[in-house]
Amino acid sequence: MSSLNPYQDPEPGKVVSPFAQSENAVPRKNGGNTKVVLWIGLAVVLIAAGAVAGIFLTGYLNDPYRTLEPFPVSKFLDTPRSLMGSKFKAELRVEADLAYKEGVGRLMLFSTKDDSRPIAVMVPTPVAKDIYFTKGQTYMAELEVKEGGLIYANSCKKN
Amino acid sequence: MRILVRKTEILCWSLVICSWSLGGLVCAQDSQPSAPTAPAEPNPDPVKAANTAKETEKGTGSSSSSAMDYLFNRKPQEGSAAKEVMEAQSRGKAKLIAQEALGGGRIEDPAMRNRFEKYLGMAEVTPDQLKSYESDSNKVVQLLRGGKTTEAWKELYKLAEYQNIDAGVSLELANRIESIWNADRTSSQLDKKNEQLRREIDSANRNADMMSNEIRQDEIEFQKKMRSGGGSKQQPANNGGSPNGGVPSTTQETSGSTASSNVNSVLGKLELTEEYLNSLEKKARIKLNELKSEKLFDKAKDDFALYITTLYDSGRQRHVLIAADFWRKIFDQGDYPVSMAQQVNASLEMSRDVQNNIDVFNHRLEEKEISAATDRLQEAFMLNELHPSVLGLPRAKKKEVEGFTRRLSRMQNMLEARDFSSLETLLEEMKKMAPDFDTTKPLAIINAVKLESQLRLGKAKLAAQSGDLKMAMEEFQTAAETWPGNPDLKDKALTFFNSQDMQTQSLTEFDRLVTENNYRGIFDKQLMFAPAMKDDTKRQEQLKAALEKVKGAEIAIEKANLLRANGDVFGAWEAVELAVKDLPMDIKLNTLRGDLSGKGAEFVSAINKAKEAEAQKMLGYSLTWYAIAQRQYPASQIANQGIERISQEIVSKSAL
Repeated sequence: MSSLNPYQDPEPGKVVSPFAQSENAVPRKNGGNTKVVLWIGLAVVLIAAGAVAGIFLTGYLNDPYRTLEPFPVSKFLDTPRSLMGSKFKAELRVEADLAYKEGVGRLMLFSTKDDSRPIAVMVPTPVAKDIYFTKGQTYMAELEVKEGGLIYANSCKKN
Repeated sequence: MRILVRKTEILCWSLVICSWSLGGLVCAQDSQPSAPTAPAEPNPDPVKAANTAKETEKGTGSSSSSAMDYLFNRKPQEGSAAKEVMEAQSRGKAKLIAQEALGGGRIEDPAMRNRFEKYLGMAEVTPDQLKSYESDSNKVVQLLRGGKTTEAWKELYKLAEYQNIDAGVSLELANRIESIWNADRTSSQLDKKNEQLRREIDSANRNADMMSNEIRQDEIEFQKKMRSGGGSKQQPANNGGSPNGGVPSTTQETSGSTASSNVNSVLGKLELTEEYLNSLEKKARIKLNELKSEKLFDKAKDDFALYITTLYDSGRQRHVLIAADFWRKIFDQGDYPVSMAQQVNASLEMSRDVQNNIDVFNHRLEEKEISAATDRLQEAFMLNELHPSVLGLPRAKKKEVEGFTRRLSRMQNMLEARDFSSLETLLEEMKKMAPDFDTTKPLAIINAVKLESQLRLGKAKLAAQSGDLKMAMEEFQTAAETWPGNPDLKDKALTFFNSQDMQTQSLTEFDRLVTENNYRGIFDKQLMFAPAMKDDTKRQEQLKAALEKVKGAEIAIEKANLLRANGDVFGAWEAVELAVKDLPMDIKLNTLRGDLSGKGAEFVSAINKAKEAEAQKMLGYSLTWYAIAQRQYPASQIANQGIERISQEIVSKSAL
């Protein structure tokens, strides 16, 4: 009975591959070409990585707010006086336009990237003159907490 | 009744005069200048002068009209003279009403009434005494008519011994008669004196004649000597025929020939003159004595007539008759003077009237008509209280009258005091005691006064209900004055005063709640407060404001409950929060707010922080929190209003 079944283990309880006793049908190629390809690939990768790194470096070096701390929304909401006089950077998302007065500026509501709670920010006229704020747009800005807990955007640029 | 009407008229006139005097006083006070006026300057302008005169006239008229206004339109104040007059008028009116109600059944003169009441209680004079007295007095009259004046006079002393009937009047009459006789004696003495004086005059005349003759003889002798001895050239030719009987004349005294006459002749002439003057003096004395005597006689006559008038006025008619007879006899007059004759006649008539009245009294008493009997007895007493038939009336008979008059007196007092509850009982008694007593008038007055009092009470109640407290009080007072014993008065007054007390308490509580801003308390007791402040506009406004505030709160509570039921906790809280602004102390609102605050803590916290920051002028910070709150509840009225308000403020401030 066991001789009739080729897949039957010669020994009971043991499974043997059907190609165990066959030879390789495709012959192996030469290994020298493979290495070149590998080197070229590596070079390409390195170049790409260098480009990316360059781009990032350039961007980093071109960021004016790179020295500023991100605006701590929670801390501001807890103790606004402790932040008075300090400057921060923040990526702001336009929530609402509250008021505008020529020569004074535009009072806006923004939310930050890290905190969705809105904060009131006064964008002075010189800063706001070239910007058309639209809800949902994001801006990078240098923020300063001034008297009365009012946040001023000293500068602002579109993201 | 006529007397009553006349008294009423007198009272009315006296009140009018009193009022007029008061008016005059007011006018006088009004017209008194408040400051000394400058002396009037001559007014050169006649038109101006006329205007001034008109103004003066107008001023006088206005002061008169103000006085009239004061008298008739204004109510006198407490303690004023006018108030006193009004009270006196009121008392007089009450008295008149009471007297009218009694139908004039009482003696009005208090002194006479007292005497009558005293008489009713006195024991009667015994018939024996009365008979004896009458017999003695008749004897006096008989003696007088028989011309035995002195005997009659002596009998008067006997009459005086009946002290309880005569009261010593006869003794007084006897004394009077004696004094007239004494006056007559004085007159006789004067006559004697006159006789003596006449004798002295005769003697003086004789002496004068003798002296005259002597002087004439001396002069004749002197002339003879002169003629024979070539004496004096000039001799008076007519000395011997002197018309004055030898009395020296002025021409004789001044002539040069008289100066040379002898001393004896001069002395004789002076004596003659003295005698002549004595004679004249005595004649004058005689005339004076005659006048004196005549005067004494007339005076005695007049005095006695006057005494008879006094006897008549005091009701001593019997003595009037006796005294008049004495007068005729003493002064030897044939008839009485007119006035005395009238008194005698009236006394006789009165005596008859008294007797008639007493007869009628006895008859009425037998018929048990006490009221009519009392009237008759009163009339008899007033005509002559000393008449034997009045004095001899038995006490037992008078007792019934006494009981009746006592009740009548009580009735009058009750009517004056308006004590109608007791009066009705007394009237019943009177009706039983004196069936002829007419109770119609007293009952009519009682009913009229009761009705008036009830009507006044009703009017007071209506006035109180319409909020006219002044009028209500006046009507209450009038109702009380009209009938002090009105049983409804106490209840109604008590209700009125209690309601007034409650009203006062309500108003006090309302004021306290307003001070505490406890509008909920006012709202809860609005039904109590509203009627208490009917005419108080200020409090009405306060009540209205309070009710509107609480009404707003109630609406807010309803709204909050509805929103909460729909899951809008923030909206519910906000509705209550807005209402709390108007009613910060309201417990109901605050309880609900506390409950909702726990459920919408995040939103409530954002709003509270925003408000707090706004209060601290942290406008930017406040705006941020309002924005956060609005993010949580976009429909929030507080947040949206806060954002709007603070945004504008920030922008405006920054512009500065």
